[in-house]
Amino acid sequence: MLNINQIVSGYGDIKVLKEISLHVNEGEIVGILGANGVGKTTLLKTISNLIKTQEGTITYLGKEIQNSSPHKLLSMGIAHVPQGRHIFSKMSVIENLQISMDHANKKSNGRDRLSYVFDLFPRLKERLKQLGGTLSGGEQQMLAIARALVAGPKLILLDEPSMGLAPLVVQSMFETIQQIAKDGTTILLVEQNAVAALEIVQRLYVMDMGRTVYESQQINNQELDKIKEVYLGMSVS
Amino acid sequence: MKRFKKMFFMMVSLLSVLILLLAGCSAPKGASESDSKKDSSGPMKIGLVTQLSGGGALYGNLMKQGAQLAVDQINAKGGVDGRKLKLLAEDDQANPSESVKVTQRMVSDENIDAWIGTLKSSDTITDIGITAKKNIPSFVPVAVADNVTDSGLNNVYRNVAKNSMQITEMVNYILKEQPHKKMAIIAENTDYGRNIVKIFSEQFEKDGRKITNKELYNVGQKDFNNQLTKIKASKPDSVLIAGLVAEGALIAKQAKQLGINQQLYSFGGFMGKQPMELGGSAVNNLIHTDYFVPTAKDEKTQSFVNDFNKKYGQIPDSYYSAATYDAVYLYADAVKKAGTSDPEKVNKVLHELKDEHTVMGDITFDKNGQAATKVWISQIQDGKQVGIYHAE
Amino acid sequence: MTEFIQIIVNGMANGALYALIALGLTLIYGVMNLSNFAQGEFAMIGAFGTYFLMQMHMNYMLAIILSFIIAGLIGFVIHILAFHPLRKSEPLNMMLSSLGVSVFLVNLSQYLFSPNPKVVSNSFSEKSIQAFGVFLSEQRILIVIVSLILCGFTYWLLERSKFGRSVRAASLDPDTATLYGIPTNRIAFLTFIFGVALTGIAGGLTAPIYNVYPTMGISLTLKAFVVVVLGGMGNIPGAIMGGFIVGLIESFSAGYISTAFQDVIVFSALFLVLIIKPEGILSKVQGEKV
Repeated sequence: MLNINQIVSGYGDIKVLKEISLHVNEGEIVGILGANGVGKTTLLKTISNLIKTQEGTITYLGKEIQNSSPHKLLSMGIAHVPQGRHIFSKMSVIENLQISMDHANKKSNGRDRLSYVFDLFPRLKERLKQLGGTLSGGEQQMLAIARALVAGPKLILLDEPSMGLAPLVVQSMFETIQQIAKDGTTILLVEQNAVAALEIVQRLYVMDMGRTVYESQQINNQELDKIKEVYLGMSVS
Repeated sequence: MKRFKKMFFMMVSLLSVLILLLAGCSAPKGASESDSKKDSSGPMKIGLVTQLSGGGALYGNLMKQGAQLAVDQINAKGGVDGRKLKLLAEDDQANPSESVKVTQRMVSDENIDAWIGTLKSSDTITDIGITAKKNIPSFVPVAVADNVTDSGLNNVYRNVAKNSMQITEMVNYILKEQPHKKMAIIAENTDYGRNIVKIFSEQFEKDGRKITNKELYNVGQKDFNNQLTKIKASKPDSVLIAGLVAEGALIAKQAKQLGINQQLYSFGGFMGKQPMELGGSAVNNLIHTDYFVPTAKDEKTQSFVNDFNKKYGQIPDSYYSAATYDAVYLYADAVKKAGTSDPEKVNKVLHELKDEHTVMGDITFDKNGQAATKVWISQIQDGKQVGIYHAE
Repeated sequence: MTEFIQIIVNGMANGALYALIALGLTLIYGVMNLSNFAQGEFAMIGAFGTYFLMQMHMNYMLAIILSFIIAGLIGFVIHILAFHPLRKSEPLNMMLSSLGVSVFLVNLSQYLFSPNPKVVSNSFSEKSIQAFGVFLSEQRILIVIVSLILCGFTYWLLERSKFGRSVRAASLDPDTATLYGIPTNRIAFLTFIFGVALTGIAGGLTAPIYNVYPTMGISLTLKAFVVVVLGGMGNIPGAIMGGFIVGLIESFSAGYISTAFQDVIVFSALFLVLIIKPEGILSKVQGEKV
């Protein structure tokens, strides 16, 4: 579905991504793990074209997208939930969702998507008129994901959804993410919280210094321990 | 060795700067001496410094036309003592630094014999500081701020009434000819406006009449409803506008819209055609001071108006041309009487003038060079300026 | 009592005009982060547009509608030349650029049209209506009506329409807005054009009472900045309320304190706001940034 081939990108002369390659198949939850500052967020921003791809190609559904305008990707089916949620804080919950529906692919039925996200996040339905900035952290993350979902995307890029959330909230959030994938949306998940991420991902890449340093095909317990120990610096007891 | 080289270069450059400076000082001096000797047979140069581009160009050009008319007439009659006059008119853009530059150039490069200028009092004051150094007879036909003739210079002549004179004339006119006893003043918040408020109120109230309001506004302001509302509330029987026409015309208009239909008075700012163009029917019946009335039954005025009309195809409707025209004649006649263009002698003659009859009135310069010329009271009647009163 | 009512009427009438100009300024600030010092010059453009169209015997109402379009078109060109190339640099650079635009437009129009004021007169400009001794010229009534309509329309556009949602989202968080399908550059473009066109129509509206001349915009820019800072930079309801508040402060301070100090008092109010509540007095009531 998404093929990233040897891309280089960064800020001006500072290259953050150094010929990184990876791919995401339809229906998967693919995880990208790695420490802080290895280029995970830059990777997602490069896919969304907020940061220009300097070399290499990004192919989505057979089409090269590295040169398309960033605001067109949503209607092509790629929704990006940015790190730190970035909901429109001074707009109401419903307006946050409308923004996304305004610019979604016309073929998807907005009303159906709306009732779908309200089923996933009933809390949001109770807070429709409330300003986004007044929601709790967990609710803001729900809104950020809901905002992506109402556009009816085929692929969601999720950047650190667990950031700043209490462990219990993280757990339910990841269950919801799993549910979304089951309902047919492909997910590329960037996480620092490896423990939580490893629970739900089907495949994963480990990033370091702008490259992938490990790629797993099928995750079994043995491999899991190895990943934890070698790449993520966790002690396995 | 290196250090020596450096020193050497420094010395050389210092020297060359010194040489340039010396050359710059001495060269024009020498030139001017030889020029002034040679000049006594050539034409006499009259420098006119005024605004000839941009906003005030309209008035600057009126000055230039007046001066040119006088120069042409004098030359047609053979000049002064066999010498022709030559008018050098230059643009100062009504900008103080430009005005000083132009005047300086005229004095040091052109060796002018007489100077006339400018549209603005502040520019005039700095310019006459320059002409005073060579005692060049300098005429101020247009700028009217009192302090132009307060600087004690011996070479400056103003052949138009200064500001405080027009204020006094206006008060005297109202006291004598008008019934108004409760007057409101709306004045621009500048020296000009505040001065009018001070002098006018003192003289007006001396007679037991009353000033109800002294409202101020800023130059460039466009909305006067707040000031006018206050004026309206104190129910005066007349309103005095102490400002220029750009704001004054708007004040007149907005006063009418607020239902203020009392008699309006103002000053020299309402001369000429502009008030009617900007104020339309709102300025009708407004009474103001004026320095020149083209319809005056005075022989000198009529011949000037005719000659001007013949040359330029229009009636001179304000004092800019007339006063500048007079200035050229005042200078030429003084040279004739002195028998030389030597500034010392010409200045002496000018100071001794007594009731010299000109378009602007009978000229006698006081020791500061200020003449008490005519101040007219004019009224705008159906889109025309009409002179209605003139103190004898 | 009559004077008191007249003072309120004066303040509201001027306030309506201030609101209209401040509206454009605050919109542009909200979306582009641009303190546009050339805002008043678009009022001048609108006023000259109205003047020349009326010289060609066009109906006044039609002329001010066209002046809206003229100011918008010139805004389009200026945006391309002076602001679009700087969109990614420091906000300070755009602000300096706007100062340059202001000087350029004033000088160009002085060169083309001369600095002398031009008079626009229409069927409203000479007449007043009066009730209980309170006077209001018909032109000012027209200004209040048009201003209220445009303020209302702008409010509706921003709060209720798809375009308005995009504008607000782009001003809150341009990157995320882009991710959610909003072409932020185009939105900035359209907002600028709409913002200066609003000011253009304000110029056309004031022409019959203030005359038309090249430097007429400078004091309007200053007033608009006072209003916008008072209401909160980028705050639309703040600009509308702020306009009326400034109008009323002016008329009351002139009426009950001193006409000479009316500007001093307005600017003192501004300083007070900047010290006590720099985010604008209306930020609590209507916390919405464009």
